[in-house]
Amino acid sequence: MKRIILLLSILIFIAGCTSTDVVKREAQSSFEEILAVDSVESSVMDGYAHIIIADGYHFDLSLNPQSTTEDVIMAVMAMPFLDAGLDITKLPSNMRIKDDMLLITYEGIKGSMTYDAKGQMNSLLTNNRTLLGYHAELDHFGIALGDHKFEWAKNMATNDKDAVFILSADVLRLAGVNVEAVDGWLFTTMDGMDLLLKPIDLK
Amino acid sequence: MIEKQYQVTGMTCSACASAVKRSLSKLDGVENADVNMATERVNIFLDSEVSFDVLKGAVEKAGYGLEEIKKAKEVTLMVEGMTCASCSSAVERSLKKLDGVEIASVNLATNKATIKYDGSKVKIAELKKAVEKAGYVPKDIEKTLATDEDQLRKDRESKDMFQRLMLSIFFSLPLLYIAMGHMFIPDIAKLPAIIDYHNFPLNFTLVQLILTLPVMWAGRKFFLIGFKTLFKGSPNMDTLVAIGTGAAFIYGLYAIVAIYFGDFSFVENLYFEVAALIITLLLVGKYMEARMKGKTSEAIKKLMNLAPKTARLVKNGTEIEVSLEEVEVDDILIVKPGERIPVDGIVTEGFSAVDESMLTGESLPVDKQPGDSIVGGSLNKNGLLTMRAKAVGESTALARIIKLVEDAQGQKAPIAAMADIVSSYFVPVVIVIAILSAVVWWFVGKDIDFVLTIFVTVLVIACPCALGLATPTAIMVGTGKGAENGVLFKGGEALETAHHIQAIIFDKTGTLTEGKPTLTDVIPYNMDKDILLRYTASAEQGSEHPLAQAIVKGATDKGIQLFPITKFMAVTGRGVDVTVDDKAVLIGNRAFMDERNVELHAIEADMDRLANEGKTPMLVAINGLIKGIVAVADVVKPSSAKAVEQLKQMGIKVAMITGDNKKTAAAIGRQVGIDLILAEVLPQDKSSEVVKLQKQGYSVAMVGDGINDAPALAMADIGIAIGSGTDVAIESADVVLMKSDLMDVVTAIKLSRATIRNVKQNLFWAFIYNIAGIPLAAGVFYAFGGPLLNPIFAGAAMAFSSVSVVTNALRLRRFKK
Repeated sequence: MKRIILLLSILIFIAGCTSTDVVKREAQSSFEEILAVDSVESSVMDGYAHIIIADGYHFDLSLNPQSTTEDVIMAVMAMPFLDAGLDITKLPSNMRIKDDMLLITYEGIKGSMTYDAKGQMNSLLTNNRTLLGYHAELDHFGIALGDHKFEWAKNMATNDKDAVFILSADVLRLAGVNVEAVDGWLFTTMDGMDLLLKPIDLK
Repeated sequence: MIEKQYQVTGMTCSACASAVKRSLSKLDGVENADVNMATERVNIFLDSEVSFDVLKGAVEKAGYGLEEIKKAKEVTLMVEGMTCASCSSAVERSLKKLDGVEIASVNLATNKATIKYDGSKVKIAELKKAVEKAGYVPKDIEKTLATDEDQLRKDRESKDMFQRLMLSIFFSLPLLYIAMGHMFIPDIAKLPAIIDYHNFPLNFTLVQLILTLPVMWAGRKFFLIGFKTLFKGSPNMDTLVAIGTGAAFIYGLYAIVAIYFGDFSFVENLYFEVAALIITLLLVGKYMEARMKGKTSEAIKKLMNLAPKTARLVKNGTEIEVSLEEVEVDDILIVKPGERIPVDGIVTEGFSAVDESMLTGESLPVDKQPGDSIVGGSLNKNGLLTMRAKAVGESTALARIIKLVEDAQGQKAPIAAMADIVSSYFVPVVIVIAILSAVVWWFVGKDIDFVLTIFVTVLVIACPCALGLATPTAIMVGTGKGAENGVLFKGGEALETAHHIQAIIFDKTGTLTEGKPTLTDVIPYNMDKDILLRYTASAEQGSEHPLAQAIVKGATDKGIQLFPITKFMAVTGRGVDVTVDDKAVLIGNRAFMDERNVELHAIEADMDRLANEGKTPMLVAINGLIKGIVAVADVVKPSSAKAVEQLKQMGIKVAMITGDNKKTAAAIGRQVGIDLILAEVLPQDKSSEVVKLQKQGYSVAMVGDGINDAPALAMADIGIAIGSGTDVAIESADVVLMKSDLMDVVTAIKLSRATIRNVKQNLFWAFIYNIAGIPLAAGVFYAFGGPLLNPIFAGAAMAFSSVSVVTNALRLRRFKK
């Protein structure tokens, strides 16, 4: 019995000393691969790191989340939603229309201030580990932003959905959107939740 | 031929027993070795002396252990005359010189010597002599403590197994919850975020590894023995478990490495829970099996507990309580009401009823009076008895019965040979099947998870755990149950052979009849009745034949004075030729008289009449002339007719064999319901009659009690000696009935049939798991759209197979006469 306890102690010690958070490690490195794609642009402006995944689809991170109320912003083109019946007066407080974009915001990010997209994403993943998840079915990592989510491929070489904007269909349905008629978006149900997906192939 | 018995350690299945047997049989000087899985003992038959170390080496080479069977005892002796430390050292040295003394510790301050010794090698009297030899005086024994080393070892193993099982269950249950809960009850089986398999896959797997390691530790014997025997070339059941669960565990480790390097897909197919649960389930099976195996030897334990630990010895007119070991032949002992008789002996004073039911199965107490024999272990019911010891220690009837039953339980039945042969090939064949199945599915295009599932499941479902237990457990319970009912089978072979007996030959005198003939008729011709009886009884006084003794007793009861005899010659199977009072007296049967040319015409009618009445007429001729008939008759036992009837109902042909004339024999036959009478058979020809029936295709049992029955008992397929019979008859027999009740013949055959039926059921259960399980596990049914066996269910099935076999064997305990 003593030997078992000793062995377990050693294992627990090793586990404690070694970084066992392989998801975070892999998520960071795979997001760096996304950032390295030519078509993906990143810049720092107005206190945010802007990551333009594709035209009309970007992902912004506050450089100083302690001082902002919109710490993460997913921005997607608003027209398909408006065409599908979106009533902007019915949007929840964390969603709004700005210019021709529909912004989905999230408040509550912890973390230190950095000065580029890569650093800020790493900070977000390190300091807000509970938001990060691995989606085995699609082999994606994802950040949960309230009811919505942003996912990216763990391995772009074997995945045709390199980045995916995921919106809660229920929230949009309440705002008058006919979720099955949003142009360019895929309506699906996953794990019992109705979702609208915008997959983007970066290759 | 020398026979030795040892304890074998580390065996888990019949393949182990086969490996031990193979290894021992290869040694020079070893004729044969019988390994019994249930008792974990080996009987080694040696042509010449082979040292224990050589035998041990051979068994260890096969991967197991060999130990001497010890009867560990401890005694504290008072020692007088010691004055200094050198005295106590001298006593210690003297005691330690004795073979069998393990520890001798002498305390000078208390004058006590505490000795631990092997009771099978050294006796208390020898210990006392050793103290005397050292120059000191051994006094009374202060206390004795007998420990059953075998029982202690089993208790230790059982406790150890229980601890390992608990450890295994303790870690397996949370492992099962973590590994499989989210699959079956996702809404309930929530895991803490830190070990969530999506977000922290490495933690999820590491936790499983941490929970699996103690289980692997608990089941380490499977690996230690399994791989050891594999490398020694004699794989056993543990090898299958070790390879199967080892493969699952190593795959789990590989999965951890893969996950660490970023391949999270492995999180879906970890095999830690498979390895751990299979081990846990097999430990459950092993533990229950061990518990129930203990119950199979309950009959022996009951017999062992019959002997009291102490006896009341009368020494110099004073009653002192002494250890049973100290009782010697001719000691005078007192047995109070309610106490057990300590040793075999003869009542010298007192009257009492003695309950011998545990020894003979006879439910009614037997009245005892001075001169009667009493048996150690029987219960003195109501009177104070004083007895003289006639047999002590290993010589008592109880000790001999225990030895006989122990030997019987240690011997294999022929039906076990089939299981042995199958199991010796089984394990390697299963390993090949597992590899082939895995390779085939790999080439069919299945992924590594599927292939590994097939491989592990085939290995686990095919463990022949139950196969090795199927026969010996039933034989143990059967022989034990027989002993409880006063039927002693001398071995598994006897128990097995008795079940297919087709014909039974009963000896007449002393078997079908009471064997106590009495004088019934004296019919003189040209002579006074009493004078005829006087000559006849005088002539017969030199004979020990029961019929002769009946005549002598009949004469002395009438107050007739006997002549001395000057010449006595017995003619076996014929009669006696004696010179009495200077007259040539011939007493015997018709054949004897014909041989001596004695004219019998005048007595033919009386002879026939007496014979038809079931009496045995003995013809008496004096100086060559027939002078009369003296007839004796033996009373048929009350149970004989009922036993014959039941045997007939069981489809068994029943015959009676006797040296008596045909008419007398036929008359007795009519009384007991036997049609096939083998009369006027000379003692030496009884075995030929057995052979005649065997040649007609019958499997023959012979039931007898006398010395002259011994060849026939030995020749028969089964020899059954009745307990009141001679030692020679008992020695020659395969089955001994402790009472003279012939209903016990019926019991013996019924018990044999029940036991062999039980063995067959056990073999069925042992095989069915493998026969049905292997194709299911190998994916044969799956290939045609059927189900695929989960390795955990395979482990559960294997655990259940052993338990079901032992449970079925224990059902025999409910056998009723």
